[in-house]
Amino acid sequence: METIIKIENLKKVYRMGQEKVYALKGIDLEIKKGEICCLYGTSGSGKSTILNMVAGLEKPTRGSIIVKDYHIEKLDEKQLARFRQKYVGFIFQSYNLLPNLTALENVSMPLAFKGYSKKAREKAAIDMLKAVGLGDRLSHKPNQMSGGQQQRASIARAFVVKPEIILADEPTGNLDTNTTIEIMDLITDMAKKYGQTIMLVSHDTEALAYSDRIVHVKDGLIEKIIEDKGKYTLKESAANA
Amino acid sequence: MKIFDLVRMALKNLFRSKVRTILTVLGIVIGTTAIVIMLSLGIAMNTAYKEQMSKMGSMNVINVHPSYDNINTRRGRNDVWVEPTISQEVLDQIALIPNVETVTPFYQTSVKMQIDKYVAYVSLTGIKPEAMPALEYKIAEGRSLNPDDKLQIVFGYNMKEQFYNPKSMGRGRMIYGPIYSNEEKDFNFLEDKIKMSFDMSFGEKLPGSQTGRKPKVYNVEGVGILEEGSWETSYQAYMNIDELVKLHEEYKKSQQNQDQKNRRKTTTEIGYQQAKVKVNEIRNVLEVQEQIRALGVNAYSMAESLESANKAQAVMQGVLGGIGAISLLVAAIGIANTMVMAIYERTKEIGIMKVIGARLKDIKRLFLYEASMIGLIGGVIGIGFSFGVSYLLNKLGPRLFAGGGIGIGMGGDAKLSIIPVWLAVMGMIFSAFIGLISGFFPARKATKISALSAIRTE
Repeated sequence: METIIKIENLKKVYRMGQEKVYALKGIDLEIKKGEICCLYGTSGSGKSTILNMVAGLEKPTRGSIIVKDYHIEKLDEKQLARFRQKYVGFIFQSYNLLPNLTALENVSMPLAFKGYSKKAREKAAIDMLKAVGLGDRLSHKPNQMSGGQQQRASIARAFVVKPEIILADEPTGNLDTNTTIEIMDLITDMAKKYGQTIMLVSHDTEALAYSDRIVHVKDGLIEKIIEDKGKYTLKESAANA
Repeated sequence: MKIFDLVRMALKNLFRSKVRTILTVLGIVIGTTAIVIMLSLGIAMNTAYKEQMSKMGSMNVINVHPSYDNINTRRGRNDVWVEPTISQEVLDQIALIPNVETVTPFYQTSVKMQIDKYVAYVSLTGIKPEAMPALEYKIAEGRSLNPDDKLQIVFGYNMKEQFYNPKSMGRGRMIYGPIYSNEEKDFNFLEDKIKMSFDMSFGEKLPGSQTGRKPKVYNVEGVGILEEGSWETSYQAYMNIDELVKLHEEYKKSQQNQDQKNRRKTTTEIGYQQAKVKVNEIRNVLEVQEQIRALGVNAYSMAESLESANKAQAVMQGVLGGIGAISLLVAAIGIANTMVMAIYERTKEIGIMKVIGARLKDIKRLFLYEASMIGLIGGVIGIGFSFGVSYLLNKLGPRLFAGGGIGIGMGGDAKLSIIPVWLAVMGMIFSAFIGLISGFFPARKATKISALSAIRTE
């Protein structure tokens, strides 16, 4: 399996006035194409920082991130925008749908940025919304939908451009257990269907059961990596946590 | 992202904060209206002035008049008023000035003419026939004067209006009465017999009543009619100057009694009330004019007054435009303010857009479009508004400024405000451009928003 994301000696230091805060102290990680990889850890462990850096939203202090053939740390803002448009779909904990747009418009937006015609992007967006089970919510605005529905719309938005990599930052953090299972089913099924790689940040034990590999992050370092696919069932993962 | 999509998105965003958009647009409307109306006033003044100028005569002609400065030296011993005139000697000197093409004296007289049953007081000017083409007296009908013409006359375009039928009107009604009627006068200058006399009682019910003598009547011949042109030529008739001087002198002699003959010895020296000098090119006019003045006569030209008027008007335009520009500048700051506000408000939205694949140029353009759309909408409404204001000014203005001495309204239907098409189009483009410029800084700011901190903003 080919490596799609390669992280080498990644360090991040924040400066808080006089004090230095070491968020990442040297992370090395390789993620294979088609893999579902979960960064697991408590808040403040640095797992979200890793994800943001892979998306190019934050600059590493030291080390390198190679996604496909791109050295993310060396790209400028313009190139990063281009890179994200081409390869990355993002799912957030707080959904981050544009509040004044309908579900359909929200999901069409990434395609609009790619220059698709209105007709083409609406067709693709409707198909995607149907796939996530929101076929009857096309013209609803985010505040007219439940959290689960909003997250489905946000998943549709991430998948609509068929990106090679999906970055999901605590996608189930705001959802109850049942909805979490629904959402995780949805994400993993879709990723399998299109052969996409998922990098997931979570501290929900439910999410672990869906991952091929669980990377435990603690205090800016990788504590352990659990590789066995299918080792965790929902119960076991709950027990493990 | 497609431009059409960006435009639609920009419009949608503007529509979202209606009140703010309307207020900002209002600023631009006022700014555009101010600048367009101010410029339209200047343009109207310029147009009125140029129209007036062109009616007064051609640009490279200098009018020479006798100087009234030397009037004391020319007074007769017994304080008899002698009208100052230009002597032939001065005219000869003018002819020697470089760049002077032609010099022609004007000899002005008033005569009475009669055609069939119609009579008229005619201002008859003696002119050198060969100077007529040089002074751009264009013939509409018939021909110009020839050097060997004597009793041949060329009439100004509006001369027919001057003729009236004394029998159909009260005697008290003179030429300034309502005789400019539309009544068809069935005579023709070029075909009918024309009689002319220096005696003003000629043609009236009791000819010769003033002096007791029978007026001397000449049979003259109309040979041409001038084209419609300046005011100066429209109500004049022209004749060979040599012949006219001769006839007029004869008439004056016949009128003088013995007493006057003794006193006025100077009348043997013929002078002219006016002369015209044609200069070869417009750029030489001012120089020639100076040299003519040095000969002790008055000289003025359209070129001179136009030049000073142009200078004055350029200043005026600048001041008026400046006032308008200030209000537009304030409006532009309004746009910038609105856009900066919008960016603060939409920080999160911009961040999300960046993360889900918006290019920097998309975000930049989105804000630029929003800003220039405010400008354009304001501009379009402003132009519409300006036409309304302009219409009202033209309708009510002349009453408002009647006698205000602004120098407008002299042309009768002269307009107070003119908005040419180019000004309207420029106004719209300019306001959109102002919007674009005002949006530039905020748009740059928007692209610099960090996607990460934007999506963290809860």
